[in-house]
Amino acid sequence: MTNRWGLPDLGFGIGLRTVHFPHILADWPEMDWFEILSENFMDTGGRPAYVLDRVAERYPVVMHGVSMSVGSTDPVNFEYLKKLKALAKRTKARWISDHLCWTGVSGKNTHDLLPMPYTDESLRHVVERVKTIMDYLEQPVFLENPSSYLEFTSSTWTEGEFLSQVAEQSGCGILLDVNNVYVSAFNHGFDAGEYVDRIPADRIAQIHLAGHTNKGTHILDTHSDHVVDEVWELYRRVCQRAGGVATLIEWDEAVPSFETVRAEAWKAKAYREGNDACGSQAA
Amino acid sequence: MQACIMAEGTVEQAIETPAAVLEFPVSRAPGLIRASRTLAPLERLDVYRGMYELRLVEALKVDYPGLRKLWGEETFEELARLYVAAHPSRSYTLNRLGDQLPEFVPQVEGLAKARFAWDLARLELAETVVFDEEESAAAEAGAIAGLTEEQWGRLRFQPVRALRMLQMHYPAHEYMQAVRRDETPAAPRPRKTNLIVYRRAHALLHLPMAAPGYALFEMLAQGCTLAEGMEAMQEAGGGSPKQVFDYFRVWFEERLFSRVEIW
Repeated sequence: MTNRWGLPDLGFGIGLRTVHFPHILADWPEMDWFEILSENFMDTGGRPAYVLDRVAERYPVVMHGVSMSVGSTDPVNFEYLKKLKALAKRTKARWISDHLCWTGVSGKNTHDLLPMPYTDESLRHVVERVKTIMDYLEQPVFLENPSSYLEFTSSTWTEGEFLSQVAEQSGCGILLDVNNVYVSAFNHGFDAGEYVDRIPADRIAQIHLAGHTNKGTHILDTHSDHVVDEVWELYRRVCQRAGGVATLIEWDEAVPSFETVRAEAWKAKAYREGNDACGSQAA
Repeated sequence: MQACIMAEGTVEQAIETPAAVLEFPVSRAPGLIRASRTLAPLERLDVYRGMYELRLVEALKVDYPGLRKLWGEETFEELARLYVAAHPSRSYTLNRLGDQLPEFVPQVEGLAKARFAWDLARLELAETVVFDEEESAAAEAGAIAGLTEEQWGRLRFQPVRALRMLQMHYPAHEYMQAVRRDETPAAPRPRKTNLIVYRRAHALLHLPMAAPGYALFEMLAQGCTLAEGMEAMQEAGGGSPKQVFDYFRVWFEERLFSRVEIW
């Protein structure tokens, strides 16, 4: 079974993180696939590159980046894309993803996923850039809904509508980060369930799940804990509409043992399959 | 928005910086952002400001653990904030964010142990560069076996890519090794130190060298022949044939050359 881009449901994966390198190299544990942070491997020829090569020989690898900056008004960074493309070739990456955001302008980089105003003008801008990027990479790109902490008064689209339009008009896919939907819904006061229900199911190419940090006044997307129950329920809701979509657990801060992170991936599997052991049964 | 995120001080001060005013007038700034039920517009902007600083300072902490140990967290973070303000990232990668830090250290007034810190910063930068360098296959010692004396003089040696040379006023590598053992070493006394930082089997290593050997290796790394290198070595204090033999034995054992050719 493949999706509209001819890509398979890879099953359940986790992020490839440095602290797990020794365990992975020693035991080659059971795992459906790994996602790498592209930038962590693009400019290194040392141990990370060595480990990645070994991992890519044994597991499907997917590349997830933070620097495509599709919302920026700076020119598209072809030097970056060239390296991205080379890494994808080297690792036989099944696909490449990034975020609906901008990371910097005027040649500077904030290294953050900054929110955009969702307007007709910015929509045209992003669609053109995504088409240019996909032409250069010669493969589809999947864009993730970012977690965000502010909204612009000039926005005329909701984020979900905007992302869906970008996908429809450019041909890209959507990496639906269910935790980010929850985080942004809390921060901005919208209905998370309504958001996921309105995303075109056939455009959802991958799903992210992660933990977060509730600061009281707002939630930060820290990838520092287990996935919370509310996000699991949202995930179940997405699965009911989208079916078998490759799902990944992100854990980047205070990263626990490989087994702990993998257990979250297997929990996602149980949720998708409607297993009672993971909580209330899917309707 | 970017100018506000990158500016020092409070968010109220940030929106009044010239760079921020260029993006939008101060009076309009709060009106561009929706308030949430819990946060005012500028408080929401401040969330990004906090994360920006945290992310970049954390990246520098990872690259400069020795300086952190030398100065302590508070002083290091203060320096890191000053540095990031002076050298904002212009790359998609954070790997090279700290490349100008060694040159920045002497510009900061009032830093404790500044001269040693400069050496330490240069060493830590060399280590990050060597860590990320492309792998290159090492030449075997057999490449120089059975050569005539005349051929020896015309030999050229190309070092592996994952290698950097440093001349320091302090043995900063000994300090770093202690830091890596989770110790809290005292700053060392001055001692002229010649060091090769290199990578072997994915491990970062240090090879301290006497002045003559360092002079010879430096000439070889610049593309000079062995004969030219030997001249430099003599000027740096000389060395017996046995010493030269020992140098090359160690250099080949440590896999420091990627290519050997007769010129």
